[in-house]
Order: sequence, then structure tokens, then C-alpha cells
Amino acid sequence: MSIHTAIPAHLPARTALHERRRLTERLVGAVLFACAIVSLITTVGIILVLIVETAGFFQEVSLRDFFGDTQWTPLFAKKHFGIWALVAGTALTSAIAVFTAVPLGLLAAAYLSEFAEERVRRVLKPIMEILAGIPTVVYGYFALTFVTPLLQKVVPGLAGFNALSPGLVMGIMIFPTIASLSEDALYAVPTSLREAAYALGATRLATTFRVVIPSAFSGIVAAIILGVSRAVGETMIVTIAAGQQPRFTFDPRVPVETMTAYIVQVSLGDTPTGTLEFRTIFAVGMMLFVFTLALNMVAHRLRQHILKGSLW
Amino acid sequence: MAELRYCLAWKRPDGSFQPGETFASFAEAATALSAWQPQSHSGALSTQEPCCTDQVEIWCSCQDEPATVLSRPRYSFVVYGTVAGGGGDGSEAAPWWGLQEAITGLVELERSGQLALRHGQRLRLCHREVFATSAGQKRKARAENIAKTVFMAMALMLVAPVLAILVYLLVKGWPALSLSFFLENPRERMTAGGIWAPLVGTFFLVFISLLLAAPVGILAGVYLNEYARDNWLTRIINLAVVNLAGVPSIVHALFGVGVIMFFAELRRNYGIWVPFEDRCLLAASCTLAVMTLPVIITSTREALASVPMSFREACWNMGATRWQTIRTIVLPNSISGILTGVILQVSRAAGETAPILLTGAVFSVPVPDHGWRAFVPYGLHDRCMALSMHLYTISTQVVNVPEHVEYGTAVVLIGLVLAVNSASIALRVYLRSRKKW
Repeated sequence: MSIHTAIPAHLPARTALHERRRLTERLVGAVLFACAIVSLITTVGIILVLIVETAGFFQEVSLRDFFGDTQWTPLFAKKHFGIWALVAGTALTSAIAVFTAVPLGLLAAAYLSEFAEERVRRVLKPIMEILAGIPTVVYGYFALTFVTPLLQKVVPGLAGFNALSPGLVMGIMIFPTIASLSEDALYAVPTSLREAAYALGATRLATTFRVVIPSAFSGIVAAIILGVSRAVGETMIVTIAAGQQPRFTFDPRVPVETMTAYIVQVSLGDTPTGTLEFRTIFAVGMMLFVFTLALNMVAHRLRQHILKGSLW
Repeated sequence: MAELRYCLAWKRPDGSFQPGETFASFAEAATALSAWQPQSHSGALSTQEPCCTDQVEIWCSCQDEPATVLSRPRYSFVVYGTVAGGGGDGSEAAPWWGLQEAITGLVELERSGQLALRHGQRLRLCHREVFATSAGQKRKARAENIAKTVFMAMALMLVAPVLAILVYLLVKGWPALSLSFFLENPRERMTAGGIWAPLVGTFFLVFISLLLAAPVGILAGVYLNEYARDNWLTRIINLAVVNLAGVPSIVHALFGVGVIMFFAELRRNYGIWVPFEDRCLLAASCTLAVMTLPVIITSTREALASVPMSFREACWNMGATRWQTIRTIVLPNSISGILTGVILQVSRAAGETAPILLTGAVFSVPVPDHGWRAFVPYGLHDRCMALSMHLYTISTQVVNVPEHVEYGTAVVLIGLVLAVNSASIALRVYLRSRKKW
């Protein structure tokens, strides 16, 4: 208010135009804020939905049955609610995917960041971006109709539905993600570190593995974590190619069911909403949500560190 | 004037000189040089007094350290024709890569009169080791090359398997692709006919979800980048956006299911108007919108942040308000990034299966073959078919579907997604090349 009184008298007073502009500004600000708040509301909504339904689920099923059993048969007459059967399926397929994608992704990132010419980067990066959009249902179809029959010729005793084939295909799917994010981390390592290594007589290879990769370690870890998170949340590949038999096993040759696949299975069936069987998908979803949320948060923190350069 | 005589002098490792024989002709002296072994006679150049003034001396010295185990010795002989025996400031006549070549070369030079040696002059023949790759260095270089090749192979692996998948699907699905495949509805329990109904369903889903998500996402991005102060609310919103982007699509789907159940309950118990109360096209579109929203916000923010601050400041100095600045300066300059982000989400929404599978897409909906209803087969509250869902259905839920129909559906889906993606990337490249700053 004091600013108003400080305006000298010979300046024009606030006109109607000024007032209208001020009104527009405030209106626009409010609309924009409303749009921004939508994402917050959605997040809260997701958490609420999951919590309410999961709470409903745990009123009927004890935590001990949920975490203390290794059988998952909510759709059968004799019900078991051992989440570990589903978690094992998810862990198995994700582990196969990550073990496929991480070595490949790291080497590809090292190449793109340390060895490749600018031209190669300029061509490869957009191609990767384009290919990243391939629908996962297509990957799943490919795993089922091509990769599994192929693997069956090599791996004895491989069932038609198994964890190995979708795991490998999922690895192919998250490989560009890991490579791209690791490449960002490697690229962010200051050139002075590399130059110091070169000045000590280190070769490019030694510099890459002894200096650049250790320096970018947190970024690479973030990339791997995000890759894991994507693999854990991936739905269609495992639904199509891994089978729908929850079992507590780490044998990649037999059919398993992941948490995501279970959710799809129930929602495709004729389970009426509001029943205990239907509520299981929210309990499973809650597990999935908490798990991916934790992974994403850790990765986000690590990446923030790099972006702010606080590690150096 | 006395006849020229040529004296050889060997330089010892301690720097002193060991006078050698004296020769009457240059050629003789040069030939005698072949006994020289640089390793045993080396040392720094000394300013020792010349031993005789009436002679041309030929000094032999080795400038470098003796050859090490690692480096392969290489000879480079340089002739310095120094005046008055002064030392090493002569001109480099020629380097030779070996003792014999040096001797022949020297004799040749002397004969043609280019050397023109006079009394009291010294000719210094020195041996240098030039940089040579040692075995160890070679090993390292080889390792480097192998690593580079392997790494490059890995980088190619980034695209190769996916390209292989594409080619495989294309080859397998090619026989199915025809105009009628696009324009006919699935017939005979999906074992014949085309993909018109799911194609239209996907189009509807994507269009409606984009209609919802794009304006909200872009405006939210504008708010977060241009208006928001750094307070707790903004930080929470940012956190929400990051989380929302990282949540698996199946969880978004569960959210959609939860909202449907909630709306149904509202409607049943309180009679309140709700947008939808069962699985339907609108519910599925909303779920897709929720899924794409955070990514649109993030890409919008990135695009806005890349507009230089000075642009805004210049505009403010002209008396423009915040919104005028955004409308006339910031948005036009960042539209390429925003569009790219939005278009990339089109393809993502078109390809997703899990969210729509839970909230509105079904295996099969009867769709008329003719008339205007063929083009608008679904109302907002109808369940619909979708291309990604259709591929899932015919590959896992229906038996006896001919292979080429499956592959054909996969090819169309991929083609659709990749075409949109490529268009978006191409647009970005084009608009970036026109960027003014």
C-alpha cells in the first residue's frame, strides 16, 4: 500500500486498463494453479483408493496370512493369501530383465558418452527415443510367439509359459532406459576429471572404468533403480508370456505369476466388485505402489544430486 | 692450405670424447662410422675444445637415453654442420632411419658438394630415439580398440533387437495388410475380418484422453515454471508429479477402477451426477489422461525452462504483464518442446493396454459395418475395443486366430505408434534447427 502513496502526483493514476489487466493476471494465475493442483489431487486419490481398499482387504485377511504364507489362491475354494508367491514371480522376471539390461546398458552408455563421435550420438539418441514407444503388448506377443519357442530348443524343460522369456524381452525393453539414464550420468562427469586421468597417462579405457564410471556411480545406480522399477511395474509382457500360476519359486523355466499379471487376471475375470476376491487386487496394487514409489524416490534423490552437481 | 683431413670422435657416456682415427677422405671416414654403436657411446653434447683445428671432425653422439626394454629403438641421424666447432646449432640436413642409410646419405651429400665442410668445422651425427609404440602401449591400444568395438556393438544392441523384432513382425504380418484389413470389423469370433472397430476405439481413447490431459498438463507446466514460488505447496506438487510419472500404469488403472466404484456409490446412494459409473470409454480415457498428465507437465516445464530469462525480462521491461509475456513470448518460443512432449504421449496412450483393460476396453463390441454408426461406434458411456487390447485378446484369449491376423494387428499397432513418435521427433529436430537463440 505504501507503494501507491509513493507514486508522484504527476504520474497518471491507475486506469481502467490497469485494473482489467490486474484482474486477468489474477484469474489466469488461479486457473493455472487449479491445473497444477490436479496432479496433486490425483496422487492423493491414488493413495486414498489404495489405502481404503487395502484396509478393507486386511479387515478380512490378517497380515500374518498375507506375509506369512507362500501360496496365493484367492480365487479358489481353499483360499490362501501368501503374497510372496506373487512377489517371487515379480522378483524373478525383474531380476532376469535387470541382469540382461544392466551390463548391456552400462557398456552402451560408456560408448555413447566416452567413445562415440557426436554424430553417432545424434543419430542413436532419437532412434532410441522412437523405439522406446513400442507398446509392451507387442513385446509380450513377441516373447510368447517367438522367444519362447526359440528358447525351448536350447533350454531343456522350458514350459510354454515361463519366467525366462518375458524376463529377457523385458530386459530388451528396459535396456534403452538404463543406457540413456546412465549416459546422462556419465556425460555429467566434469571433463577436468577425465583430463586429469589422461595427464597421468591413463588410456581412454582406464579413464572410463577407473575414473568416469566411479564418479558417476550414483547416477548409474539411479538408472538401474529406475530400470528395476519399470520392470517391476511392467504388466503386459509378463501377463502374456509368464503364465498365470502363482508359485513361490526361482526356477525360470516354469510358469509364474507376477503381481501385475494377477491384477489383470482378476479384472478380466467375472469377479464382482466389492468382494474380497476383487479387493485382493488393491492389496497387491498397494504392494506394487509402495515398492515402485520407494525405488523411484531413491532414484529421484540420486539424480537430483547429480543435476545439482553437489557430488563435486 | 693443408689438405682436409677427417677425424672421428666418439662421445662417451660420461660426456668426454674419445678421439678416433683420422681419415684422408670423407667417404673413408664415413665408412668407418659403421662401427659406431649408439648405445655404448652416448651422452650430452659438450662444449669441449676441438681436438684439432685443421681437421673436419665428425662427432657421433647419442642424444637420448639408451633404449629401454619397452621402447623399440629407432635411429634418426641428423647432421649439424656447425661453424667453428661451436656445438649443436646447425641445420638439420636430413634424418635417416638407420646407420647405413645415414652413412650412404652423408657420402652422397658430400659428393654433391652440399655438405661443403671446411677446416675447423664439425659434423655431428647424432642418434635420437623417436617416439615409438612399445609392446605395452600396443597392447593397451589393442585393448582400447577391442573395447571400443564391443561398446559400439552394445550401442547397436540398443536398436538392433528392437529393429529385428520390427522386421520379424513386419515380414510375418505383411500378408494380412490390405485396405480391407483396416476397414473391416473382426468377424467369426475374430478369426477373420479386419481391425476397424479396435482402430476406431484406440483413436477415440487417445483423442479424448489428450483433450483432457494436454490443456491441464500444459497449463500446470506453465504454472510450475512461471508462476510458482518455491514454497512447500510447490514442492509437494513437484513431488506428486514425479511420483505420478513413476507409478506403473497398472496402478493408474487401479485408481481408475477405484474412481469408478466411488462414482457408482455416489450415484447409487446420493443420486449425485457423476461423469461415469461403470467401465466405459470415458473412464478409460480419463485413466489414460491421468497416466499421461505428469509426463506432459514435465516436458512442458523443460520446454519453458529452455527459453532464456532475458526474453522474459525484455518483455517485462516493455510493460507487459506476466501473462502477456507468457502468451506472446514464452509459449511461442517453447511450443516445439511442448508439442513434442504431447505427441510422444499420444503414442504412449495408444500403446498402453493395462489401464484401459481395467477401466473400459473389452474383448469385443458389436460394431455396425455400414452407415455413420460405423464411424462413431462408441458413445462416451459404452465399452469399447482398442487396438492394443485387441492384440492381447487375439493372442491369448481366442483360439484359432490365423497367425497373419495377429501379426498384422501387431504391425498396425507398432506402425501407428512409431509413426507418431517419428513425427514428434522430426518436428522437434525441425523446430530446433529454426531456433533463434
